Amino acid sequence: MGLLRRLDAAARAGFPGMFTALLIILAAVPVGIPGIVGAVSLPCIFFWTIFRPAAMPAPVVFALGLLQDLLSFAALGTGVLTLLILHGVTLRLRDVLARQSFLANWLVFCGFALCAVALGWLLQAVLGWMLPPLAPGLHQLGIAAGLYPALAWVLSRLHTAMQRAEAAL
Amino acid sequence: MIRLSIPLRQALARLSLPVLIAAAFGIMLLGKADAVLIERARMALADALSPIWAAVQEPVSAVRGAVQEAEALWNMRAENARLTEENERLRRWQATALALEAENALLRRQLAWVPDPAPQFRTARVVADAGGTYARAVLLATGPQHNVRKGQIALDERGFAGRVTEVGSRSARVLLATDINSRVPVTLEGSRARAIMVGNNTARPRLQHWPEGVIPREGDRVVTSAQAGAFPAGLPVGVVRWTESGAVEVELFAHLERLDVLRLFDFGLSGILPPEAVARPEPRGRR
Repeated sequence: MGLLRRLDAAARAGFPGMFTALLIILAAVPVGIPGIVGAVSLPCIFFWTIFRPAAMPAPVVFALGLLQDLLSFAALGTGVLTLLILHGVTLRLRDVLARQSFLANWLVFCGFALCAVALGWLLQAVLGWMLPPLAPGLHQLGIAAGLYPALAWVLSRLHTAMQRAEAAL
Repeated sequence: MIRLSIPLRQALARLSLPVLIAAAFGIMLLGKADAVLIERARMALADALSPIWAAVQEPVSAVRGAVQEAEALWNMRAENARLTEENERLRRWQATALALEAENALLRRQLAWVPDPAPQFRTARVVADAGGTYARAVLLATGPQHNVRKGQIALDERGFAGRVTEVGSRSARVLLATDINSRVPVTLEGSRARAIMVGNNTARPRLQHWPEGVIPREGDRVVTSAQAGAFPAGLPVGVVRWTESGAVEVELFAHLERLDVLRLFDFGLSGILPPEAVARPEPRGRR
């Protein structure tokens, strides 16, 4: 295999992780809405775990969770655990989810995001040893659910482009 | 490159998730045990990313400026009427203020009053929202040579915004007054009663622990108190607002949801909670 072709394959394999990391970093730019940082990673990890699990393995999810936790003021480890569990459950149900329509996937994602936000809230309560307010969590859930269609549209375009490139090899 | 047999590779892949979940718990414990290490890691990452954020900030603030401009144009008529009315009112206050200033100068001359030194401050741009879901904090790009240190007080152009809690080599994190861990000793200007302003992650922090017999009045001005040695007295904070459910909140003068630049004041005060108390919230009873 030539060097260029190998570079091309590496870029395709690394793209989902890098793209998600970039989104997390850009989400920290203040636009007046708090809680975007915790919401952008959920749709990306859900999408790539279903459609390109080889490019979104557990270590990458771990690194993304760590990045997210370090960027926000949250207790360290909460994002890591939440994202890993989301990844694990999605991977387990992958065969079913990959065949579903977009709308069904969105509904499933909303359910998963609800569980992820609830888990994040619980971890925050246990680690901080006081009850955090519910509103920011619901806010995060709303942003994640609202971001999914837009992100999934872009990501599925990219995914088909990558598939076409792979088929041309 | 090491070549692994396919069953071994599959076994490793299956094992990686449980191992990493265990590692996540390990990181949680580490975060509880060594707050200083985590803080250093956070600030190293923030230092590395703050140039990127500062670059991205330019177009974002341009767009935001355009939107504000459009809003201002849209509301110009109503705004104009309000300003005319306000100007009228302020003119009366100006007369009062000038009279008081003259009287004050006269009295000071008779008392050999030592004036307060003008505090040093530097201005820094807000480049990132550093709060996440359950915290309210912002990240400032301070540039490589700065003298920002922990405990400095951040004000926007209107009033008190927060306090510096973590400092890196080219960035600093400011915990906002609305954060759930924020506790600010304040004075109610009307009654001179002291109270504590407690953040709750909403736009308006609560007022707590005012002395018995004093009831905060709606619209009363709230300023900082020098009580704990962490703040100078008299920085403008906000006004008292009663909610419909009967809780007392403070409407901040500072516009925390659209911070562009913050002024960091060095009042040389050292009576500050240790940084661990900010990074790791302790259950707090009544003080």
